[in-house]
Amino acid sequence: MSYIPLRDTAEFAIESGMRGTTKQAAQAAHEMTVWWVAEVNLTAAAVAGNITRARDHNGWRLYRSLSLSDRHTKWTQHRMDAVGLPAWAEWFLRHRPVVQDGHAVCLLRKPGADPHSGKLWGVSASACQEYYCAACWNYHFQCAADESVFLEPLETTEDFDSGFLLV
Amino acid sequence: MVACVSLGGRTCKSDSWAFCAWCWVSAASPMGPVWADDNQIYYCGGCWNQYNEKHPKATYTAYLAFSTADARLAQNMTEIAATQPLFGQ
Repeated sequence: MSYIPLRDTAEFAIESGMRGTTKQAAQAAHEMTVWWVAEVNLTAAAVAGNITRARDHNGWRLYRSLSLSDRHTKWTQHRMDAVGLPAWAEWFLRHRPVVQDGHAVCLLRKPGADPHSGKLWGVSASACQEYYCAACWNYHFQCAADESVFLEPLETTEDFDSGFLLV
Repeated sequence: MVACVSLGGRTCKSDSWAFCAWCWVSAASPMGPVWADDNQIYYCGGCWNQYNEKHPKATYTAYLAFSTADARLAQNMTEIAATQPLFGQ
């Protein structure tokens, strides 16, 4: 069932935005990003039966539509420093097979270029594994991800992988 | 002592002198911490759902983050639907 993920604080909301599969979330790995946070006040009567606690995400799951265009919604702007490629990769690539550089080579590394050092993450759990470094994965996500949360979503992670044709 | 984070502006306590008003778990126990309602009565995380069911006038204050472009879209939409999987987790 689909829902709107509301968070307990602006900080938790921004953290969730940074973990979304949008271009800005990928950019947040290596550059300052600007986030707008909507503060919404919902009466329990208005959301009765349509909201559950998401304890593991510090917030609520709202199973109904939500208006953010009214004058009661308070908007604040936040500038966030880059989270860094290692931290980004640890979250976004956490379900992928990982090896240390030296046990594999980033397939996008150009001959003579600086080595793509550190950890490498695989595309899938197949025997014929292809590995890429955090910078290349991040570049891929920036190219493949949608600009907006309001566009048609990618259906599955397999859709992401099938688009991994960077050279 | 359990880490204490103020949520939605609610005061948090994680010391051994604070207890949940309903289930009496100590704020310092693994079931803690506890958070204050508008009357400065404290509840553990597990009792907050029941609290909200029993207090129909209670208000949820919650937050949602957008990029600048999406914020402009959201401000101009009558309402946003709960069908946007690209929201972060």
